[in-house]
Amino acid sequence: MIRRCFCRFAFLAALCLGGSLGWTATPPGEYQIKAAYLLNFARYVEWPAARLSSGATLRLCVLGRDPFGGALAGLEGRLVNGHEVKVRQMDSIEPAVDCHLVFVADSEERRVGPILRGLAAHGVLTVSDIDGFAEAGGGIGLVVEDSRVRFDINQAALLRDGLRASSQLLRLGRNVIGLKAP
Amino acid sequence: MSACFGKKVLVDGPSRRLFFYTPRYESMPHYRACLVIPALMWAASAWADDAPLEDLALEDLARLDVATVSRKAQKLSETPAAVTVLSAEDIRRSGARSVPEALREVPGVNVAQIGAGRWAVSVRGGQGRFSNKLLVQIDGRSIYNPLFSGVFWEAQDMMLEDVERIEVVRGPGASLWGANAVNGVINIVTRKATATRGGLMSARLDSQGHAALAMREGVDLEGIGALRVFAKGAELAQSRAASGDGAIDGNRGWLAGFRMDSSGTDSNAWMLQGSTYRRASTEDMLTTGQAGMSGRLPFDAELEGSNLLGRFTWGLGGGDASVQAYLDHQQVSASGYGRGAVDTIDLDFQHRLASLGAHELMWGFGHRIVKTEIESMTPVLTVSPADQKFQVSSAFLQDEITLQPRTWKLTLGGRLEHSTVSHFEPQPTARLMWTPSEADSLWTSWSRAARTPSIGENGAQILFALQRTGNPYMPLVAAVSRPMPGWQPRAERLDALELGYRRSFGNGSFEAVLFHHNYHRLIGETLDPAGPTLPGYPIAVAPGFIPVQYINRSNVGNARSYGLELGLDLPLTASMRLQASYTLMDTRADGNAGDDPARETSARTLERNSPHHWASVHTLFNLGAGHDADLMVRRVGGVGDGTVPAYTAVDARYSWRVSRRFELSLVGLNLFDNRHLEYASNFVPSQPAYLSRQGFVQGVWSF
Repeated sequence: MIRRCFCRFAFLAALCLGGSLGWTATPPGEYQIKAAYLLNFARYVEWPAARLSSGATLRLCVLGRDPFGGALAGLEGRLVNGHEVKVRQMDSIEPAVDCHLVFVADSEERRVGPILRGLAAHGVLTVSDIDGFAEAGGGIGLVVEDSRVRFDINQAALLRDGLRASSQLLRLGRNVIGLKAP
Repeated sequence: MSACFGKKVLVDGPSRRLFFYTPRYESMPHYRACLVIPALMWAASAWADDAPLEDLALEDLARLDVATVSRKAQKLSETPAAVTVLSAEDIRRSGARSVPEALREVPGVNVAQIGAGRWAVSVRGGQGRFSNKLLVQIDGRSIYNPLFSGVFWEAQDMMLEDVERIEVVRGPGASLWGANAVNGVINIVTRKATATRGGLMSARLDSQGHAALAMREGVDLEGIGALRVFAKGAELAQSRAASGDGAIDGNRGWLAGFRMDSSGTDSNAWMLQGSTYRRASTEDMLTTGQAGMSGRLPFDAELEGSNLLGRFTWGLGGGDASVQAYLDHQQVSASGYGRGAVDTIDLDFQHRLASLGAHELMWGFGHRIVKTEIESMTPVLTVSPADQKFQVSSAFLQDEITLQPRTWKLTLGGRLEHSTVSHFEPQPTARLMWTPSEADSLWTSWSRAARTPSIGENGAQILFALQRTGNPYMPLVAAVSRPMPGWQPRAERLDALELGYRRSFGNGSFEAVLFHHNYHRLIGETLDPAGPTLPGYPIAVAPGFIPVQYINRSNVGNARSYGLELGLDLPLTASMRLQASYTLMDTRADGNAGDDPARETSARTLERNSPHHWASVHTLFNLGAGHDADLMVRRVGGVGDGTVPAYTAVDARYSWRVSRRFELSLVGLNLFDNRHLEYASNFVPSQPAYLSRQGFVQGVWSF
């Protein structure tokens, strides 16, 4: 009886431990979640037709040092609202004006001002996890809060660039900065 | 954009963190949870393999629970300097109540508590109550005090809940930050008002019965930006005498202030902030006199100050420009001793240009006017002239050259500074960085930095001892330190060589830095060749006076120091992380003191004022469901000739996020230690203050 109890206990313990260890071995990284967010932003933001015509390729660019560690490869070739996603990495602002969505890597934090000014009015959705990005005039800022990845939207910056965020996106944002959706 | 006035070499942000989903099982009985969790986890991982995260809907992404653990050096990989950034999360997990406590685990930084609210914080040696080679700034405003070259930490209480990050740059940062950034720079950056909307209340009670209460209210200024106002009152933990009993010191006071930031809907940004404080600090001074003249003298200081700072950032020529101005007033008065006040006006401009081919240029200039007033009520310390005014003008230029994209980068920079109390001081730097892979970086640098002599060093006359001579006709001699007659003060100079390596792996990182510092023209002391002179100090007993032996201060010292700084941040499992640091260093005074005992003493002080090695290990546990725990162990080598013995301190912290709006934490300090000493004065003869086992409980509400 005692042995059976012990066996059961050992089994439970092993299951708990094994389960936990097995689990902890492959935790999805922060940037896997952030990559998933990028795809969703592309899904819930509408570009002017002149900027992204129906069926055209949606260029998703990383400006600066790619922090995604390969997670963006999973986005390559996916279809979003009928647009095929192409992922590119770039080191300077000039080629980035042709992208639809630009993720500004934290390696570029010192240059955020010039980057935002350089990309303004080009119909580019800027996304970054640099602190205070949306408040500094960026489009969408990713933040980690209360153990979750959330995002702030600068609605004024989006409207200025002719981008329309869906009501669902605005509803789920942690903070919506600037004008409310019409 | 950059909160620390753009000069920061790096910035912090949401870190690379470790994540795991926590299935909601709180309501289940435990034995079932045990069976269900692994099953769920297994199911979840199987599911995760089948259905990539990218297919999750927005709602589900926002609902993913993650265990956040901070990292250290992820985005520092492009910075050719020894830099550590403490994020708000790092500060929270350290259980720190003050900035010095938060700095304890940074490699190369030595933090010794002198007593209640009093700290000796140094980088790469030169530890002292006035660690004169370290520049400390809060949001771009220097809190380095030019009277005695150092920071009055006892005056600096902060609302740590609203600190966004603390950047610690070891080694000379003078080409960017200017004079006194010799051994290092500490930049404390508070959160923007736009990031602190809503209210917050933080209350703390420690095991000695001291309480602290801080309140903040953030409001949205529709269409303009945001404003926060805050106030904090705190009574700090006291320390004990060597015997273990009695509280021998104290520190209490308040602070109030505001910060306003623009809303950020256009590309120009502005910020305005101000604060005012008043604190009372008490301690005992030990007099080292002879024949019944020794004893303890109470030293009660009142510290107060106010400041106002504004900054405007805009686009200029495809780049970024900012202009910043501040006014600062600080005053210390000690009953029976005197009063010292410093008023500062500072104006600073800087411009980062758009990149021109491989070059990224940045330049700027600044001007500072400082007015000091010293009123002495005791012959022990007098400063002449009592009122002084000096000005510092400087300009800097930096070019970051990409030699080979993503692999080789060279940074050349320099600052030319002129101060009315010193000479022209050129402060150049050259840094080369090699990044062979995304994960590794290797850098090396040479820089020169200068420290302006303080008002005290330039003009103070200090009676610091009465010495017995053994001569029956002249039994006692007063030792008085003064500036050498005819001395033209020069800035102390440092030439530094550094070599650093950084590697990031997965969610962890490793850092190693080797440094060699070569100091010239250090302000040191020599015995006045004239010997004991008359008439000296008058006294009430026969023979009616004590002859004076002058000890002359001038730029006589030279020294070298070298060391190794190691930092490690290692995720062990998804719920456990290890952060460790180790520093090894040594300082040697150069030159032959001959038979000059004063010179010998200053050389020895230089060599023995810092520990030779110190280490810390911090284990972070994420227990899930809002619970986390920390275990911090640090070992600090002895200082001097055993005046401060080596010690090991163990601190522990536990916190529980009860709800989204309330967090409760419990911290125990010096758990296995009845008492230990961290510091013995090298300048101010305070009574040695022993730190004992203590704890506190803290609640933080946000609403």
